[in-house]
Amino acid sequence: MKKLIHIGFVAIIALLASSCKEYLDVKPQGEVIPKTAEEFSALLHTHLDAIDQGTDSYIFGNSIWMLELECFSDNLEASLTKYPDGNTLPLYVGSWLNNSRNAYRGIYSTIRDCNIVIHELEERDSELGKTILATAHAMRGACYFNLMRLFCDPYDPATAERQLGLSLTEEFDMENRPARSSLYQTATFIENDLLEAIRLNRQEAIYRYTADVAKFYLARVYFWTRQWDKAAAIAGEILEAHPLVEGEEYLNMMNSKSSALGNVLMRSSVYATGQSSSSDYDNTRTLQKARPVSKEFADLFAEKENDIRYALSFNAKREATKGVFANLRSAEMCLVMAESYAHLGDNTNALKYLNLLRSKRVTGHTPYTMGNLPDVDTDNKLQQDATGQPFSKLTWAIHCERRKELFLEGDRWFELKRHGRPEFWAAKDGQKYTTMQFMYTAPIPRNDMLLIPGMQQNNGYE
Amino acid sequence: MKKFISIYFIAIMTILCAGCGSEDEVPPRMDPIDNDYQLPLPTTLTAEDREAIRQLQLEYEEATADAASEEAPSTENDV
Repeated sequence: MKKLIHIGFVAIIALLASSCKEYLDVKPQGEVIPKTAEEFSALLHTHLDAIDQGTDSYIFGNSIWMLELECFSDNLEASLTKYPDGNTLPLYVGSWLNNSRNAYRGIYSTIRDCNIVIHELEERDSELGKTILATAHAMRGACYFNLMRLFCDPYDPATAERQLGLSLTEEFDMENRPARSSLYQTATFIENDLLEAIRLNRQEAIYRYTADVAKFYLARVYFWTRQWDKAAAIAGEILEAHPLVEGEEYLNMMNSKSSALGNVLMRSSVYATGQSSSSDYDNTRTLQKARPVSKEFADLFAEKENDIRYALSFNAKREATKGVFANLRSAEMCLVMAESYAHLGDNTNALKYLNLLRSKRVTGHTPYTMGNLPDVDTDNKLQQDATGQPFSKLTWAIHCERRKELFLEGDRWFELKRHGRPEFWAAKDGQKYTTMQFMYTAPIPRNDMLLIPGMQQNNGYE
Repeated sequence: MKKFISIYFIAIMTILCAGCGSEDEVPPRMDPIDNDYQLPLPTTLTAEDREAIRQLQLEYEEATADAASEEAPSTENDV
């Protein structure tokens, strides 16, 4: 009996001891790196597929994110939201700020995968290797650009070297925890990534971030950072390669549920026949009608039905009817050129590109000249242009044209940010919710504040 | 016999309890209990604010009163 008890005891101890072996070990770093170009491409395809399916919110964006951005802005009238249909719409940006950590985490996850490709890929000279490398550079540049617009203050060339930029990670290193760079360093980093993607000059559409897409983002970066001459030049290249369309072709482009038609370089939800993307696009179509467009926005259409965007954008009940999807298309480049030339003092070219766009949208339009531009709306909440100067008639006309053209395309919120971050409010249940100036810049997530030594928070968040 | 069983029982229990002593082997999670930032609380609408909202609603109702009750035909295509 004693013998049996002794054996039993030893067996139990042996089992207990062996069961603990390595089960909590952290997987060793550095042993899961892919080797071939094809294996590396899988890292990127995950994200590219999410864009195509419409499930990605923040790398490129999808329908619901475009609608949410519009809800932060003043194109829709939050105080007139119809409930319960509009229950899931954010009332104002404050409804989203504490969820912004999802954007931060999601975009940095993509940057991590791009970093692995950029620094670990050995097959750099094959055609596939070059394509993957270019895609990773373009995607990383676009990701940092998105982070910069969301988590940094508006770019001011005079103070950019002192403004807070982003934590820049160039290679995959789990131990690396960089504090924030300057905004100037961030913008330069993005520029270099996009220039490298352009230099590699890849055109494989299946990888989405082609050389032209990289150029598009580069034009956006130059525009955001007020490098007007560079912005106008590169936007001109895009516009020449992808001319504006008009009439029926324009309507087909804007109403397409899943195809990149006309001059759309890239868009979300191209696999909208799939389950998830279909619901993203279709749900948005229903949801967008729960919040009417603002009177201020509706009144911008002075030409009413002669402007093809009037009937496209909203109906008689002021319900937004335009299809919502994230995209890159040439009209934005045309407007970048118009505004850039205006800031450069080249009124002739500014008017040329403003009139070019209007000629494609307004039937029987009278071309603007410096003598017949509409007056600046002195009652508007925006009174300064992107440089902080009072609007001229020209910059005001370009600004209004941009607002109409890029309605529901995720642009207006960043336009407000670029033009002085005005404060405005919305009402719900007897309460007044104010979009304050600091809210135009999202907070650095608290986890990163705790984990990264020397990390600095944006103003307004404690 | 009973003595052996008692000793083994105590020994096993000691080992079992000791096995729980290294809970810090995994790096600590840095999730604080509250990840949220405190944003300014909404304020109660003043009489002036309520009047502004009333005017907004009035204008909207007047402007859209003539709108056809039917849904506008969709222009969406499935290309």
